[in-house]
Formats: sequence, C-alpha cells, structure tokens
Amino acid sequence: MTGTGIIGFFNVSQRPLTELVPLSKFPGVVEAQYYVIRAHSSGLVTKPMQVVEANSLVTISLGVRGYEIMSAYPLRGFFDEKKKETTWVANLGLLGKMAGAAAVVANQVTKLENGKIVIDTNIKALGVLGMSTFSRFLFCYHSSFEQVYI
Amino acid sequence: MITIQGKVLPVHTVNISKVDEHVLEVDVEAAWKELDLDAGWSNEVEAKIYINPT
Amino acid sequence: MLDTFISAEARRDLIPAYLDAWNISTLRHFSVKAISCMSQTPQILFHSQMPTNRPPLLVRNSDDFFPEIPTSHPWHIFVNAHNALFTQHLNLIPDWDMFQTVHEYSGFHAAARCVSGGPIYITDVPGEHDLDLINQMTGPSPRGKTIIFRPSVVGKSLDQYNGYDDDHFLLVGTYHGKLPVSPHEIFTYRV
Repeated sequence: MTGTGIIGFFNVSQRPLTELVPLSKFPGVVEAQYYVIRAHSSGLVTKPMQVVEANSLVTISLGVRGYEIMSAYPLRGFFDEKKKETTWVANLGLLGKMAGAAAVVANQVTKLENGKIVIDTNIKALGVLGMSTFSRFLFCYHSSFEQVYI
Repeated sequence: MITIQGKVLPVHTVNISKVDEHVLEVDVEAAWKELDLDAGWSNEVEAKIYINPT
Repeated sequence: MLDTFISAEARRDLIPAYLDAWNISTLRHFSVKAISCMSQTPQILFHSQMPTNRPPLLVRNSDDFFPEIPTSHPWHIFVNAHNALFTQHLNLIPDWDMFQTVHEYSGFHAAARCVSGGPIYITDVPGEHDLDLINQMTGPSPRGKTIIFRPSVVGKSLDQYNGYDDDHFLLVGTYHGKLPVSPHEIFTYRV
C-alpha cells in the first residue's frame, strides 16, 4: 500500500473556474491500486477508483480567491472466501485538518484469524481520525486481480 | 471496536460521518481526555481500529 | 559588516566564510531554527543550499508576503509553487513566508502553507486571530504541544507550463507516506 497524494487547488485567476482532475494527477498514485479522493472543505468522498479507469475524475469549481485541498487515499482490500465479498478500508488521517493525511506517522492493515480487519495506526496529534470503509462494491472474477491487493 | 493503549474507546466518541456514510469518525482527542491517557515516553498516539467485514 | 568593505574583491572572497559562519551559528546556537531569507543569489544557492553534508536549512522560497497588496496574494502562491520546482533539488526546506489568519486571503495562504512541505508561521495583528483556521492547520501532540502536519514531500506546481494569466487553477501537489515501489522515480524524498 502506498501513501496519500495531496493536491492544493488555487484559483489565481479573476473569474470563477471549473476543472476536471483525473486521479492520475495526484502525486504518488500508482496503477493497480484503488483510491478514494476526499475534499477538505466539504468532507465528501468519491467512490473507489483506480488510474486505469476512464471515469476516475473529480470535478472542482472554485470562485475567485477560492481554494480546496483534496487527498487521494489508497484503499486496502480483504476478500472473504466464504461470502465472496471484499471489504475495503482507507486511513483518512485527521479530519478537519488541511493536510490531515500528514498526521499519520505509521499505518498497518491486517486481517486477524477471526476474520476481523485491524487498522493499526500512529498519529502525531490528537483530533478526529477518519476511516473509510467500502464493501461489496466489486466482485473479482479474475484470480490474478485478487492477488494484487491481498 | 477501537482501542488506544489497550483501552476501548467510549461509544460516543465513534460516529459515522453525517457527510458521507462510508466515513467513520473517531474522536481521538475526546477519548484521550476522557480515558485520561498519558503519552508516556512516546510522542505519538497509537490507535487500533477493528472492523468486521460485512 | 561585509558591506562595509570597500574592495569588491574582498567582499566577494569573504562570502563563503561568512555563509559558513552563519550556518554553524544557527546549528550550534539555534538548533537550525532560523530562516535564511534574502538568500536567492547564486553565491548562496550553490554554497550553502546545495551541499548535502549538513542538515537542511529553512530558506525563503520567494519574495515577501505583503498584507496590503491584494493582487500580490495569488501571485505569491503561484511563484512559490513554481520556485519549488527548482528549490526541491537543493538541500533545504522551502519557506513560503508568513501570512495573517485574519485577512482576505487567509484560507488561501493557509492551504498553501499546508501543502508546501515547509513551515507555517503567522504575523497576525495582536488580538485578531482566526482560531478555526489555526485549528485546520495544527493539532495538539499527545504531550500538549501544538504541531503542524508536514507532508513527506515538498509541494510544487503540477502544471509547469500554465501561465499565471491563463485562467487555470494552480495545482500544488505533494505526498505523504512511503515512496511507491515503482520503477518510475517521480520525485525526490526530502528528509
């Protein structure tokens, strides 16, 4: 699992603008990895997406003097053999902080014997820690695909 | 269930975000004060979040 | 003091010694908690800021913050994001300068400092502080100190060929975490 790409968007022009930003624009983003993008101002989170998909984009509109910070968080997936479902988790760092992802010093995600998923994370300050979870948003039919993230 | 230094966080410090139902909000700051935790020799907070797969 | 020497040759020859003395002094007496400003000259860039056999310095990445000049603010962020394309290769931590939390562009500046990978410091009018904005940039460490969250990588412009007047957003990109294990080296990891 890789780290979090962060982009600060700044409207330096004299008029309101709207732009489309692909996931691939985020630094450090790799292929064969699912991400969710979260906006600092609104707290909205996209559905999981990966670079190779055509519609892995966010639309951003900013007025004059407008700004936004978006972070692309890598998801870690765990496939349940019995239920044939995948649970995805992402550590969103400290919410409400502009570069909240940078509050995370260490992050380890593992699956226990009893099937529970444990996220063991170290953060450098107190605040509201965010965790994003998704399930069943995709069924994997190709065994090679499963190996990518387990 | 979420633990810090082995202690379980009070239920009211863990909520599902009103903005996005996929986001779990863990108020580590409130829990830290309530559980009266101490940093000890470390300068970091280690939290363990346990999730049941669906 | 260097300026008082009349001989240009003498002044030039003493620059490296003067710079080294400054470096050693900040290391010894201030634990490198000093900012190198007005130092974007070749003599300083290539003598103090390039070698890696020393701790990185905090170095001013652009011209100053001018609270009273409204048009200076978007430009300030734009310039810093582009200067970082060069300064990322030097052994320094880019400093995008101070700003005010109560100001027309306070959030704008705050967001820029947070993604810059450099220090955050304010020059508020006493009594005029935006605590909500400060809370978005900082948090209490478990020991009670107020700290900032610096990403692992220096923030820089992602669209190097967009002009300031081209009606595009300025994108300042950074990253936090371990380097991706990839054959493509996208950026250098700053210590």
